[in-house]
Amino acid sequence: MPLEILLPLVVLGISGIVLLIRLLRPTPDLRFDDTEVATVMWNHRNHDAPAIATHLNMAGSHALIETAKGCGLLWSFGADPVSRLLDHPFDLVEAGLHVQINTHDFTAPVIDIGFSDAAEQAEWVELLKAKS
Amino acid sequence: MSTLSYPDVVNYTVPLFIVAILIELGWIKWKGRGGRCETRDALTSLLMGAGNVASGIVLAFVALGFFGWLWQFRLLDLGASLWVVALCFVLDDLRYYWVHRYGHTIRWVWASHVNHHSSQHYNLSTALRQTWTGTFTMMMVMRAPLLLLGFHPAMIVFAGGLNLIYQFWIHTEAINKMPKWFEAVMNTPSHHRVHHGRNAQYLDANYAGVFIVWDKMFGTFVPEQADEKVEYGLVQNLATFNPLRVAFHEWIGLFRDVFQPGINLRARFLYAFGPPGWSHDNSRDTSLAIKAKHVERHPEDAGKPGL
Repeated sequence: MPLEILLPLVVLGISGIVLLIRLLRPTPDLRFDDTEVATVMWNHRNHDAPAIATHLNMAGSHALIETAKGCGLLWSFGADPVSRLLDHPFDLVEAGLHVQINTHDFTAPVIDIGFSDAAEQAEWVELLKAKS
Repeated sequence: MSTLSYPDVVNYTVPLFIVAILIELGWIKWKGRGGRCETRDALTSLLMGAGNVASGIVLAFVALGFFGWLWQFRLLDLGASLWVVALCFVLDDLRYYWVHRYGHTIRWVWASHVNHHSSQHYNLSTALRQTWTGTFTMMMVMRAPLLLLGFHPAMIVFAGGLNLIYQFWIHTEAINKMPKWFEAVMNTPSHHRVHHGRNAQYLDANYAGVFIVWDKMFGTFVPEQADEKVEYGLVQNLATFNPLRVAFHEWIGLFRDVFQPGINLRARFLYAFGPPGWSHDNSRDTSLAIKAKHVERHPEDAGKPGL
């Protein structure tokens, strides 16, 4: 197929599909209903570092997990969960009611956690600094 | 090289890919089943597909140059009859089975193939989440036997294109099972869902492209289990939709491991060419280790297919 046909076809095809998915939103973003759900999801993905305690942010988008191997994070990544044990040095930056964690992991570059209030944020930052 | 040409079938099928994705999207939305899809994941898959076509155009000279060079050493010239094309298709699918198997058991090849498994979704857009770095694995050498036997390079490329097109439609949850006879011989959505599973039971199974019989012949077939829902994606899933990170993350990990200080030559070799998950200090798990640990936690699963 000539490039002058293939290129517009690919560009229009991708744009059209993405726009339609955006409009129809067939699959909603994941939210953790409670700490129990988050714990089960963490343990299912981290058999070698089971949760000892789980803290869920108000929005239900991120869970801070305490394990025998240190702190871990479980978070909503679109419609699905992802998790990382924070067992390597990381940078923590606070910006407004957000905490950004730079893991130096090429597959999970920045984890951005939103909080409802400053007290919740302070509690998480303290835990992250103390347990890691 | 003698002149024989076939249409570039993959590019001609692009409009069908687009229409099929739209139909599946409508099905998922209105039926409320048959899969899941979301914007950023689909966009990443589609950009990976576009990048695959682009890298194919840019790097085609490497494979084609190799094929053209090897063609002069052919033992036979099998011609271009329909039967030869059909035989080429079947044998090229056998070639695909082994390349795909290496793609899951040799980290050097996995580094290229991993991106195809990096979505936690399984829909038709996932089919297009293809590698940008396939040429670097040098797996084109696996086509040497076909060339030396006398299958024309253009025919081999054509057969490979048909193989890729066949595999598009099996990336869906909208189809449960095909008729029994079809499931017995052909690769189907059900068989391929297993292949995309990150469940211990489903790791390293169902490598087939078109004919599932290769898996049955070589002992890697695992049927989809009613009591084990497939979880899609990687053992440790990516937390990025950035196509550059998706395309290159495993290569970066591989080179970091190979060139780390304080390990011997054997370890450096195994970080590149050992199974994915191999590590010199046993800090990571290969598929075999993941399966063994699963059975340790769930002894009741011992002996099940894939474990």
